[in-house]
Order: sequence, then structure tokens, then C-alpha cells
Amino acid sequence: MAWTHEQILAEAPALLRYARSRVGDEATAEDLVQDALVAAVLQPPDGPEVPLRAWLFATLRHKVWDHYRWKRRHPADAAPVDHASHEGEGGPYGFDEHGSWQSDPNRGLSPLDSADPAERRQLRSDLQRCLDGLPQRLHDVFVLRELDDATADHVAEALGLARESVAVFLYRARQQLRTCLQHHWGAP
Amino acid sequence: MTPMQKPDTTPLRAALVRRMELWMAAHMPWIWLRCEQFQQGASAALDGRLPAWLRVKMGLHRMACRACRKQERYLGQLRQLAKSPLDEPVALPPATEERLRAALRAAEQQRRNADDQRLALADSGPGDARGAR
Repeated sequence: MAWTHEQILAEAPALLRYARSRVGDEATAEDLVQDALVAAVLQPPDGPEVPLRAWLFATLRHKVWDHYRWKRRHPADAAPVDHASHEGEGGPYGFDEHGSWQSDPNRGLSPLDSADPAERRQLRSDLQRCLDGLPQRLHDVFVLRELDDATADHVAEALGLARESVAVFLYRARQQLRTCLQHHWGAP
Repeated sequence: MTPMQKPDTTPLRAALVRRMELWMAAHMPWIWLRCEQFQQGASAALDGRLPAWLRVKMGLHRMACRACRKQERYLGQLRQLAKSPLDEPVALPPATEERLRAALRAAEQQRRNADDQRLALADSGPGDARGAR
């Protein structure tokens, strides 16, 4: 099966959006998309009637995972970690010294299951911005687990973490995203 | 837990509940979870099955703490929202599009060269083999 360049390029914007949401770095996202598009030319699938879009997304997904594995093996070559944003990583997330909520955590928290498509689009867009602002490690763990549906064990393997650390990072990522969304929606 | 913020909770009741919580957390930690521990458990529950003892403790806390109940629901909603597609239009910058086109052209050329080499090997292979015999 051979696809034309125009057919392949027509999928590039959607692939780029996918890659951006996974790696959070424009240059890397473009590189991964390019690798996937080139693979469609060099190693197209043998079977007839393979849907191009599905094939490209599956290929890109593998490229993203390869990228995470590469980062694990080459921590020094990977994008620098924003240390300033790590400051809040171990924060209390609104708990006092007894582990109780300091104030109502639900104040200003907009429900995320809105039925209004426009509001939902806005929420998803805000979530993406919050996700992009997470410390790199929290971002990677959350993306692989929640966006790519990887099991916690797979995430641990891909990122070279202990299984327990994945749980801790996921907890922190979720709490930071909650706090961030709360700020986005105007909570004090 | 934040009984003070509950609109249907009087300050007196909130204070009593708060004292009871602190007493439970201090004297009966084997049965009572603090809100922070509950949230950690709620997050872990999204990623795998929790031990029975922890589920029991969480059940107790869930019954008593409205704030944590809502937060637990919120975590589930957060997961659903994260899985929904990002509906922002992405246009390829002209430079990126040109770069991708160039990469595709180069890949096409590479594939043709590889095909030509394969054909040449296929043509010459059996002949060479016959010659050798």
C-alpha cells in the first residue's frame, strides 16, 4: 500500500496536536511527527485498505514511547527540567499540618463534566495549558498514564521509576492540575 | 475535612465535627484516614485495586467528608477530560510544512533507491549462482 505525500501531509496537523499534547515541546513534537510521516513512506503496511490516519497515529504513539525511553536512557540530553516549577511538587495541596483541608477545596472548582461542548472545549484547553506547566516528570507520568492509557507498571518501566514513585507522581500531578484549573476558573 | 465551608453546617456543628475528626485521627488512626491520606488513596484507586483495609477506611471517610467525596468525583472527571481530544485547530507553520515535504521527498528517494538495489540483486543473484555452478 502506498499513500501519496499529500494524503500523508493532510494528517500532519492532527498528528502534531497529538504529539504536542504528549511531549509538551514543540521541536520534539515536530521531530516525532516527521519520523511517523517518513515511516509511512519507507515502511507502509503490507495489507490492503489500512486506514492511513489510524496507522499514522499508532506509529506516532510508538515514536512517543520510544522518545520517553530515550529520555530515560539519556537524562542529560533531554530537555532541561524547570527546577523552579518543582518547588510546588511536594506542596501540601491545600492541607494543613494535620492533613485536613485548610479551606474548602471545591470552592471555585468548576465541574469538569459539563455537557456544554463549548465549555468542555475550554476546559480541555485549560487542562492542556496546566499540563504543559507541570514539572517534566509529573507531566510525563500523567500523560503516559491518562492520555495514553498505559498501566502504572508500563509507565514505571518506560520512565525508569519504581511503581510506588509512579503512584506518588500521579497523585502530585492530579493535585497540581486541580489547583491549576481552580486558578484558571477564577478561584481565589 | 472542611465543615466550616459547608453551607448547611452551623459553626457549632462544624467545630464539633472538626474536634471529633482530630480526635479520631489522633487516637484511632487504624480506622480513620485524614483528608490528605484519603486523596492519596483516591488517586491510587484510579490506577489499581486498593487493599481491602484501605477501601474500608476510605468508605468511612467518604461517608463523613463531603469535601473529599466531591474531590474524588473531580479526579474521575479530570481523567475523563484528559482523555477527551484537544479540539484546538492546529495549522502547520509554513516552515514546518516545507520541512515535512522535504523529509517525505527524501524518504521517497531513499525507498526508490532501496527498491532499485533489491531489483538489481534479484536480477543478478540467480545468474551469479548459475555461473558459480
